[in-house]
Amino acid sequence: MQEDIDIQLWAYIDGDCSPEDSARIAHLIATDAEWKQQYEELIQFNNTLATDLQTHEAPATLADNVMREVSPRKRSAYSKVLNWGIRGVAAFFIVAVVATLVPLLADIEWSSANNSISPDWNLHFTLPQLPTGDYAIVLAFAVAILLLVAADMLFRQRARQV
Amino acid sequence: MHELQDEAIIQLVLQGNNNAYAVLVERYQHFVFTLAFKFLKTQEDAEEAAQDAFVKAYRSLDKYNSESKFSTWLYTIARNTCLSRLRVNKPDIKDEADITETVDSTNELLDNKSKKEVLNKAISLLSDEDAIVITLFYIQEQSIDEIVQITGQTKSNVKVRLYRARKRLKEILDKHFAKEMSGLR
Repeated sequence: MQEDIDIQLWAYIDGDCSPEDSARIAHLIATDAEWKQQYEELIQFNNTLATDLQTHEAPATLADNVMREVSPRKRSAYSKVLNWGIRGVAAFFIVAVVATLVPLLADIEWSSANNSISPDWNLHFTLPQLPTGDYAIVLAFAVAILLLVAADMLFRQRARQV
Repeated sequence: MHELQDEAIIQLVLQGNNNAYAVLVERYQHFVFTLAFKFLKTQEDAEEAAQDAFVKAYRSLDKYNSESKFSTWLYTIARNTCLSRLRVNKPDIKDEADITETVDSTNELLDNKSKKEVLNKAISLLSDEDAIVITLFYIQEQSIDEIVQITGQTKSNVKVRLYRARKRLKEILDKHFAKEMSGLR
């Protein structure tokens, strides 16, 4: 019984009942001592909650951290450097591959191409001399460094996107 | 800019005025932090989750439609962010309903007798779900329909939870803090 009164009174206080129910409950509060006493108790409790509950103070750093995180200037500048770095490394490798393949293909003797009946699948060509000595070591070192830089840039970019 | 409505500020941000977002962060940071604190219980976790929620909201701002209040939309993101963090920290948690452990001891002495602190202390003795509904309804001033939207529960569930949470809170205050509350009334 008491719980039923409470449920109806809370609905009335929250403004969550039909106009008919609202009128009926208002009449009960006005005429019934039990309803009136319970209503006054609940409305006082409701007012206490509405006025005295407080938020937790957010740390002073929160707003700054959010704005730093969403700052487009900083992010785009960093992304630009990353993108151009990755593009530069990619361009280097493409040039290196082309520079190696073009002389290689140019040196091939396509002698089997003249025989239309029984092609000779043993291609006769000689590989150009690959770089050796100090030059090769420096080149290999540069390639290794560039690979590491490219991998580092890619991982950093992915980490930022996550 | 501080007197502008949320929707007007959002339009400014979408037009490229990034600094306008700071007004929204300033306006809602305490509310989002309070909600995160109710879920996560520690200052550090709550701060990180609140930050995450604001950043996610910024990145999805073009998806916000003004059918609901910005605060309701933001609290939904904050709640989901907190639940994700809880699932990472406690993999056994599958739903908000599992987050029910009651915190703090009722025997803890109240050093400070301010009414607000007594109330917050009493709320910390509620289950997490009850505390969050009370927080959303009274502190964040969200309507029952908006709480339905934020929590994903049905309207009748939210109403029942709100009723039980207030009843439980009143019982806690009467049982454990009657002296403090009567002295403050």
